[in-house]
Amino acid sequence: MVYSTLQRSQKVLAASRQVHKISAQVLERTAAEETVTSSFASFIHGVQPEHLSEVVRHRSKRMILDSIGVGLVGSTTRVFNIALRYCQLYASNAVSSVYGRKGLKLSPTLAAFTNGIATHSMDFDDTWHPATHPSGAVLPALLAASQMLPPSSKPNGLDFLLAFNVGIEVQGRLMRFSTEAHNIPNRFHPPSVVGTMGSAAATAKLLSLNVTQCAHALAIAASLAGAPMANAATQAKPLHIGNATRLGLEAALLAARGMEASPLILDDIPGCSGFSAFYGDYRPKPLPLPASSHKFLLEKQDVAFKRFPAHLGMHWIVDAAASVRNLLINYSGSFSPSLIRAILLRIPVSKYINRPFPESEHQARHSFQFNACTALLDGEVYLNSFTDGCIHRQELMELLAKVLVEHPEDNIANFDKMYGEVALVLENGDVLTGRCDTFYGHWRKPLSRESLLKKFQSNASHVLPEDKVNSIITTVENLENLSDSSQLASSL
Amino acid sequence: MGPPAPQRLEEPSEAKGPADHREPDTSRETPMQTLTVTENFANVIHGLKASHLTDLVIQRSKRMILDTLGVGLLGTSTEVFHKVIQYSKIYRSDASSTVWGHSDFRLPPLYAAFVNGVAVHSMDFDDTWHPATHPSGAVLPALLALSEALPQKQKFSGLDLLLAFNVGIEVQGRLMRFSNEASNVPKRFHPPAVVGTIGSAAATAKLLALDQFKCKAALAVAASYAGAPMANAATQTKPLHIGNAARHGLEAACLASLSLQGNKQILDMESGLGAFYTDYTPRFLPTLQSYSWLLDQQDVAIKRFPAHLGTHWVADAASSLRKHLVESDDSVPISRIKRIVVKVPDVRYVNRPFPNSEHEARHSFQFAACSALLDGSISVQSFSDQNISRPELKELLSKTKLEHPADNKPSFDNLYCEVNVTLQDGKVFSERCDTFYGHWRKPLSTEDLKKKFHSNASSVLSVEATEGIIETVDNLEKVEDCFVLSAFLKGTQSTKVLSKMCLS
Repeated sequence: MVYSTLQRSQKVLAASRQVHKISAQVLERTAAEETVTSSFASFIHGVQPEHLSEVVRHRSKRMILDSIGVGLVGSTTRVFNIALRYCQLYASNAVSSVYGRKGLKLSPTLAAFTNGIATHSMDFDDTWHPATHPSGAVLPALLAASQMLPPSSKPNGLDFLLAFNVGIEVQGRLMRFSTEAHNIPNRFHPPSVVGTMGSAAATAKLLSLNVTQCAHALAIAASLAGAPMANAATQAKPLHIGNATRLGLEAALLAARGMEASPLILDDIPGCSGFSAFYGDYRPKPLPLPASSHKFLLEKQDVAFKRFPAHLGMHWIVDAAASVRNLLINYSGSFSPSLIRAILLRIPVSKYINRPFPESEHQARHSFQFNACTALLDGEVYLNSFTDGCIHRQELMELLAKVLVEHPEDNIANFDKMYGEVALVLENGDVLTGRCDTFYGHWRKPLSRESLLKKFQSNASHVLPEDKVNSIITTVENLENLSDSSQLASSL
Repeated sequence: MGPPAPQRLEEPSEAKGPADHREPDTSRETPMQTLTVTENFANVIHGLKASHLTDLVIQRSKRMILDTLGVGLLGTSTEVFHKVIQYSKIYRSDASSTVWGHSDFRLPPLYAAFVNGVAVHSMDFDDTWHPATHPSGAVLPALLALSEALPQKQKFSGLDLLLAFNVGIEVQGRLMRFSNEASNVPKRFHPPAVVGTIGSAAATAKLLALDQFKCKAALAVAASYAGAPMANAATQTKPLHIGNAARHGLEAACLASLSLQGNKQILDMESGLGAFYTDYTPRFLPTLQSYSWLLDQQDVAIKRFPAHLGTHWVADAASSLRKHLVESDDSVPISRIKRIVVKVPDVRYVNRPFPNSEHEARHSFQFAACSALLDGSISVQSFSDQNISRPELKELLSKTKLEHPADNKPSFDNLYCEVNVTLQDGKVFSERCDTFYGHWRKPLSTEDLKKKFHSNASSVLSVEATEGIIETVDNLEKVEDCFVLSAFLKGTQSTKVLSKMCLS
């Protein structure tokens, strides 16, 4: 029923309208040519599988695998449970699968919503540079949409991979419109801004919308974008990804039905903000057309995969803490907290990840202090380091009380440039220091295939049996050969 | 003398101690005052009672409710409404809420709130407040949708509805006063998408009788749904800003009632609601012991025709001026007009010399001036495709230009419009409008308000239903079960329904 209405509305094409001057002072543009917005629409519409390079395919498949695993383990969280209970109120047109809930289906946008929330529920999902969490905003929408389409027009694995990359690419391009975007954010949470646009673009691609519809999908999505940073480090943060993927999907579905919005949404129109509303500095650039050899950003800039479920910044400090812990063990034969007078953390300035005494798992995942001390105690940070029991351990609280924070000027709040340093000032005056410039899992030191698979298996096996887990790995690694990509969704 | 603004509450940096509580100096606070603005809002939302409503507030808010319903009913005949209906039917199920003007199917509350909200704003015919937003459309659809969705034993009286409605309006007004930027016509984020979402969450939390903690969570979660850029104003998507505000606020409150939590200081932080503004100073609400509502001090403007509020000044000025030009057959001699100058504030998104669609026409000073000059007044029909593309109108438009005098500020409280027409023979006529009829300084009479409602509602409802709604809203505080309102809105009625209007 959904698809037939979709088809009908695609046949009734909106008459193309000439872009009109919004005001006499605005530079004249025509829809077909120079606008940034139209270049995006043309790209989304025109890019083909053959534009995907080997490297891009390889990296994006790793991202897909990781994202699924993270989503599967995330389906065991409390926030996921709340969202699921909410969505079950609207259980009709239930065609799309929910991570870790075999047999349960929801309507496409609500499935995307819950799966997006699952993906970000523990802050375990991938991170890019400039900073956002790209895959969680795109994959759930595509999985849900793939199950919406009738058997005769299911996209194959390659179509799916292409659409996924369109969604990632659009996010990366949009973030390069602003220098503000290069640093750890402090106003709007990037996934809720660019993620929504990425989801709209990816869905538009999968549904094969025409150029005009692609443009409108982006514009409609802009009106659904944007969540403030203050909800990061709270239980509501995962909704940012859940909503990005759901609302982007929705925007594309509305555009498919002929909904129209501003044709200049990505352009900079003084006095009347479009996408620029979310940034202090905004300089949009058109995308190169696919006719020339389009270079996907993923080619030049990989993502980072997390080894444990916490904010990316924590990974530097954990590796630094682990190394100084080893130094202390070598120095004194064992790890004895009583030898430590003070723990100095040298970290970049970022208020929302600087928490001396986190009280909840969400806060703990966003606390340099907590992660450093956990790594000092245990040698590494694990999935269950964030349970209530571990958060409130006596020995941990004692260590936390010894922590002092420093912000060296050369430690920039930027995932490409930052470092982490942990210095233990011992009671006898000696100082041991551990430093990490690039943690294992960062794009400069990517996880090996083994490590990535290990993470996936560990995550997925929380809710799926071993044979299912392995078959997903096989499917994703051979995604371009899959004839019906909705099989991926139904295997979850 | 109001409560002092709280100290800015930021995330902790170097200090020791629990991360969660940043307590400002409490020694100067009275026992009634709370630690944070956010908590304060939650307490007030939770603590307000029907007895706090004044007569004036009741009267004004009932007018708003009536007007909003009429505007929404009319809006169900629009193209944008039709599209969102098609989309939302995907979610059709055995739930439970009325789609205004449609008895043939129902939608889950979330989507009923969405489509009805879109209907309300679909023609830009809904109310406008100062500082500028469209308050009612973000709140009423959510409340009505929710009121039908809850288990049978739970019913809401008209007074419950009225109170929750006013909570939603009040919260929006208070939030807008946190920023000077909000006093002028907006440039960055469309206000309904920002404060409307929070208002809807507050109203829904009230109707659900959530406790303080959950009220606070509703506000926090709603903030993560708020905000849409101005660029989509004057496009078909603009009505979705209200539809989404209604539905997302409702969703936020529902998630909060299921114990989802967000940032407990969402209203206090620059990285909270402050993210949407360049200047942001949150303030406490008045004490519950003698609550003073904003609606008491500041009424809304009700539109007489479906277009951006700024065009109403233009229409009144142009209509007055027309009287000087009109000939014996009540036509305007277009060829005798050499030049039309319209003096208005500089508001980019209402500056369109040659609008191409109904959405653009509703956001065009130029179009309003020329339409009113031609026809004497502007109405719903003025925006039909036929009327937009009339050659005589285009001719007038080509002679029109805007000027932006320095003293004409883009604020709905201060702006004016002056229209000058220069004839070929050199004669100049000029008329000025400082306050149009329908503005809060010159409110519509009860009769005219009802006339507007009649005209709107009768496009989709029968006379009985139309009359039924007028009477129900008029006596809203006495209605025992506001289910009757939804029944009328659906578009079918029987004597059984009419008799359910239990007025005590």
